[in-house]
Amino acid sequence: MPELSRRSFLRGAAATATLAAFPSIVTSTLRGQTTPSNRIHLGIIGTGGIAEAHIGALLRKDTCRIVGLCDVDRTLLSNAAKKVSAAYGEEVATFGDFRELNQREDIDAVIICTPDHWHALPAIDAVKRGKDIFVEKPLTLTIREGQALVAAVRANQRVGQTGTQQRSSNGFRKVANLIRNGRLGKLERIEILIPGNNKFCKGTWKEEPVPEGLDWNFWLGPAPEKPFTRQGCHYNFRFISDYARGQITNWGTHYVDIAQWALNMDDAGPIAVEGSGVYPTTGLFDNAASVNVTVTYPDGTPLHIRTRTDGIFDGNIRFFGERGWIDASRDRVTASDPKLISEPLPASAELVEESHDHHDNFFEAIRSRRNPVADVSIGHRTNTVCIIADIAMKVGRKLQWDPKKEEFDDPFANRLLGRAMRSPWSLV
Amino acid sequence: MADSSTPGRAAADPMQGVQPNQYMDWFKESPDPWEQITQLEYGADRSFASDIELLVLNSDSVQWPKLEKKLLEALAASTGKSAAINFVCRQLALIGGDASVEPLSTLLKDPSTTDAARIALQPNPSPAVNAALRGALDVLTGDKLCGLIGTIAARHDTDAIPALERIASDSGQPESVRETAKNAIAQLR
Repeated sequence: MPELSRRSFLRGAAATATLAAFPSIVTSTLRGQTTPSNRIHLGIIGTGGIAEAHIGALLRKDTCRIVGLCDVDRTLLSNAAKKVSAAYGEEVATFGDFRELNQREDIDAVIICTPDHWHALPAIDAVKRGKDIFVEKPLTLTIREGQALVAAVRANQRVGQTGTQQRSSNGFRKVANLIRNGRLGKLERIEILIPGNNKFCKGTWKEEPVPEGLDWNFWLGPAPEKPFTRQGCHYNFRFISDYARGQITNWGTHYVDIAQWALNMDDAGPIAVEGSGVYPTTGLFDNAASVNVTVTYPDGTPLHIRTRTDGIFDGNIRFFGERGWIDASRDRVTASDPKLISEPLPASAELVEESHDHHDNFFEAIRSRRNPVADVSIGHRTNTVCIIADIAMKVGRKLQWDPKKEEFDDPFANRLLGRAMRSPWSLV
Repeated sequence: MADSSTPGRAAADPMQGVQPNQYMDWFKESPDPWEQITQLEYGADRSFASDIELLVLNSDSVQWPKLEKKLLEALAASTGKSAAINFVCRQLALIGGDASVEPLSTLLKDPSTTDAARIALQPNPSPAVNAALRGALDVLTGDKLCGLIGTIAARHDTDAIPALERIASDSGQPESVRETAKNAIAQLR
């Protein structure tokens, strides 16, 4: 029997191929380091702020190697390439077009770190070309994009991880297990706080020269054509509705994800949504600067999401039940009674998947061809809660949501589930 | 008696020359946001556009024909202003119906406005939209044709399959167009 190549092992979806190849991986790991042929070769699309964090973490891992970087901004790309090349002692390949990176045979998996309006298309292109994907949160800009992405991952039998890394955190996992196993008794409500905007703009803005090396037309991609302005591009894209949905999806996905996890709603979701948001009426930014929205789950549990006003730039989730409350944020887990979190769960408790590192979990999923801890379908469901919250705030009335059909009871609101993309881009 | 360098009451009085029967009109005067949105520019104050958007978002379906008519009038008056056209098309995406199809079909066939027209047409439930989109398949070319095919697929228009098959097998079309047509056919089947 011919020996399986590293590529065919990583691409192979058949269980037999996985089983045949697995012993060689185990052996190489037991020796204390991963052999070069077993490293997962990564491409990174988008090299801005969030990519920096990924690159920093990935360069410390022996189980993977970054072999390609892509960005439409040559300055960002060059900075990232210098860092990676210096760490490995050899030049990393760079690309200005994600399709060229996705075509590379030597790349096993792709990490998508682009702005939100550029998540779905490179991710779908990657899975169609046989790559596994790690997509930063929020998974997609629209619900229709999310559906298309999940369908593409399934149709091509790829592994798809969502960048909701709180699923790989001990604290949040502990809380999810406690809530799932009834530690608070009957759940009464869930409260989530998300930060407000941390960037601001004037009521008017000026078109500015596009910086040397930035392909503005490609940066816009499927979004409507618009002149370049410095504040309407890197980082600030999240505050502009053509590219993102503001903090309700930017931070909301992280904490709504914990609610969905704790409620065992990973393949479902709320059935009603109602709220209000403060949408700037002039200036460059038009996503909600402040939110106050409630979604209701099938058992009647309300999840209330609000913009916090205490200046803390972190989210927070608090579960209220008949026995008290449990609260979680990134730096701590607290409770109305310390025993609620200190007493162990019974041996019979049903526990959620345990992951201690989001990248490692992704790599393990690639090797085993299992779904990762934040599979794209989970990321899509979480993102959906945040998107329907944005839509309900916009239309200003209570909406009923059908998680199976993924539709509102309101034809008007349903028109906001997708968007036409600027030529030549589409979900085809 | 004031000297000539000091403005007297008459000079400072904004009502000077206003006829008594126009007095209340002076107080009530305000810009017309429907007219303002036709002048919308990128980077300019868009507060009037926000007023219109709020009207649309808060509207009941019985109000849509009237709002749609106003939006179409604004669209017609926005010629050459892409910020205004994009804004109006985003509103028509929310409430547009049968009345929008014909005026948008004209924009759809123009490469400079076709993307904006698709923003409005893609979610429009009018049965006439699919025929309008198909009607542009023989007009648009290259990238714009790819975008159009994407919208046809998004609307699940299976009646478009024969036309898409012609495009997919047309060696005169760029590879990107033929590939998009093939993918759309696969999605529609």
